[in-house]
Amino acid sequence: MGALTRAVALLALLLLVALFLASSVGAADVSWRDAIAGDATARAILFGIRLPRALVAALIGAALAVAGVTFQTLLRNPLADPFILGVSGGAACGAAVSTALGFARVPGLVPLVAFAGACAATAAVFLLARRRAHTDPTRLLLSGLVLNAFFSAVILVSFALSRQSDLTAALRWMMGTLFGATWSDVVLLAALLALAMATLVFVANDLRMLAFGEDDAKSRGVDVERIKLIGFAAGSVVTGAAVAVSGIIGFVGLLVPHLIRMIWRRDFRFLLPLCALGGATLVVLADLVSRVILPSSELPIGAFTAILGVPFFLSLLRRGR
Amino acid sequence: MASRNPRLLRDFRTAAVRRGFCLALLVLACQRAPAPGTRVVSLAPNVTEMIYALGDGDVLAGADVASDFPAPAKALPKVGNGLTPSIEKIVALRPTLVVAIAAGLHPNLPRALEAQHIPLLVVRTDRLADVPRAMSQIRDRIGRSRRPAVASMLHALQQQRRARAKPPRILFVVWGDPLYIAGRDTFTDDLFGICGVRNAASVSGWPQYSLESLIAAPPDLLLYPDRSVSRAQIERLAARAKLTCPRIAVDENVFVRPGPRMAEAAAALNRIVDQWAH
Repeated sequence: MGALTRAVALLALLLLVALFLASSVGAADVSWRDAIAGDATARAILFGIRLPRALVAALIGAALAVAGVTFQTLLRNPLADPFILGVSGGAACGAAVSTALGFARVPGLVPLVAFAGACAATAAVFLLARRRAHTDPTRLLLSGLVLNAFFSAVILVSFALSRQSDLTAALRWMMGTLFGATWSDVVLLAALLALAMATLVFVANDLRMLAFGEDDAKSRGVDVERIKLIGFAAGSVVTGAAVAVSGIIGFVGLLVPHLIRMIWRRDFRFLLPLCALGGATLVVLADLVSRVILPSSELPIGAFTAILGVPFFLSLLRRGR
Repeated sequence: MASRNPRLLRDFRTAAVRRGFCLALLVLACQRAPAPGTRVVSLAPNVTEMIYALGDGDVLAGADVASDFPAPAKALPKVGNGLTPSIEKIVALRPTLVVAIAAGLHPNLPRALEAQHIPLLVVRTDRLADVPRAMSQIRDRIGRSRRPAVASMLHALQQQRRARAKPPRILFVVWGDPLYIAGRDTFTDDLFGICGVRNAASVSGWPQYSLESLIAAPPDLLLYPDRSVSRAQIERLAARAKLTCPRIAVDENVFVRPGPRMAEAAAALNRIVDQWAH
């Protein structure tokens, strides 16, 4: 227990530092000191723009990492992540198709369809992989890969049919951005993430059993199919919400759980909070870099989750931990 | 009749002077100064040009990085690119109005500005007829009308209207590799209509265009913007499609910015076509 507390405290501290940095640095020349002194512009920028954006980054990072570690545990496959399983692809496909249909001009409609796309993709992957009341992890992964190819094709066709003016927005969305994040995004994401985390904590013990193999888990009285469904639903809901808010931010779901496992090597109950905190820290830092590195434009945040994460990942891999 | 009756003429003149005076008063009354502290941030170069053309350049507090015309626009504080401007920089400029174009609007921008209680005006500039409408909308929101800019732009465009016995078929290339062109239902196509020329492409919008279509229906003239497309690209394209027509670079910022300089684009296009016809 002591180890968990220490690890959580360390990562929480890192996240706080990242949040402080992200809310202190930006395009406008304002500081926390100005805001505390009562400067209206500084307050508007820090509390209205930077802080909600940093918090949305943290929540999205946590959501993607939690989804990743859940999928990896469920499938006992280190490659499983929301992208490989087609969940993000489903969300992106929903967004692209609704953009081609002109939904982009109705506020809030594209994210809603993206969310529905993520859920539909999960259902499809699950149904495809299911045979005789049993879900085979390999078939599940393969179904995800094949569906991803299909989603990519639909996305390309939708883009070709989209109006030029909608296309720019759609492309930005595909690249992933936290541009314009507001407090309502924070509330939405926090609520869904809390719900998913609570559900996962509730079934964490059963999920941990799955790591020893399905037959073993069954013999210990775990309702394997039920746990798979719950885990998948929770992972998909948070992925869908994250993608609906920010577009596609790749790599977090794969990278973070592996990083955490390389450092601490623990079971699911231990990994869940650590992945949430690690994912949050990574995306907050990636977003900070993506928006301050160039003075006049923001770069795709997905590039920086990889640029920041991969060297760290590779160095751990080489040390063979 | 008036010249045969001096008294009637004098009465007429007096009445005219009075009427003119009243009209002048009315015009003066309409020329409100902008509400004190009006500060506008423009998020598109054509919007910036419109605001300057309206004579309201002094209310501009900032603009996107592409806003470079007229010259004073270059000195405006920049808030980043138009699609993903820095909201922080916008807020720091304390604008009372942000103007953006519908074609380059990030879906998250309206609610981000709304959260900051900054009013946003989104104007459409997809077609030529949208330009005067957008200018009127901006003028109404800024709240003064020092120059009859909209009327003079429409007049200037009208002056460029041509009916040609043998209208050339023109292809306007907007991107070289892959080939993208200006199709029907675009402001460029509307410009063609004013100048009495035909669009060599029959597809609508700004589509990627096939080399086969280009070879099957070669244009009489090929135009391309001088910044986004290079001479070498066009020559490669011409070689592949066996084009023999003249290929002319045009001022990109005049031709592809649906703004107050569209009449200038029409005049330039007429000059090119007149030269071609001779």
